[in-house]
Amino acid sequence: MTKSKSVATRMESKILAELQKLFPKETPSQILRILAEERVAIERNTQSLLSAKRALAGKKSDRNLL
Amino acid sequence: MKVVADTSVILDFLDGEIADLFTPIQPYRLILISPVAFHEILRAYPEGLHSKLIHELSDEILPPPKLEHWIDAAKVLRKLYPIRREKNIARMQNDALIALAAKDLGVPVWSRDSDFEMICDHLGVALLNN
Repeated sequence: MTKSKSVATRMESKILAELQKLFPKETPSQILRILAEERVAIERNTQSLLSAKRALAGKKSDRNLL
Repeated sequence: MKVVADTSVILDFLDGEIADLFTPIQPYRLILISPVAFHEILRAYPEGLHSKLIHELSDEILPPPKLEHWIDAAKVLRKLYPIRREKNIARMQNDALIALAAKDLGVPVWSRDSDFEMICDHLGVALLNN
């Protein structure tokens, strides 16, 4: 395994085979990109929701207005 | 793994009634909000808090409903509620639009509101009610 190989190429073949079942049309590098983007979106999503809760500073909703 | 959250879920979370948003719905990890639900969320809080909510949640809000969604929502309501009952039909319209957004994405709706059962069942959309 040399340093010049991409992350996708260095990925364990068993893991790569499993991922290719989930993403049959994508190349290994495309799969990695999808997973990385999804990870970033999940992190952002979690932080957005927690930040929204903090921004309310304990103020409760009034559901009678709905 | 995405899910479209209904107003009830987001308000329960913001009010502290749901401590951990993600554990009850594993393996789903990405919670999206329809603009229709976001509109209802804003209505439940004083105007002074709106800019904060918009700032924090805008990245998680789906595109607005298309004309086809409004047309489909009318068909759903006509089918499920052919006569006006005590139920608030305007709220049912919002629920139908939220469920149609989930259907478009091919993901479940997460709601704690039992009104979604009939709509999701009719549309063939999975419903999480944890």
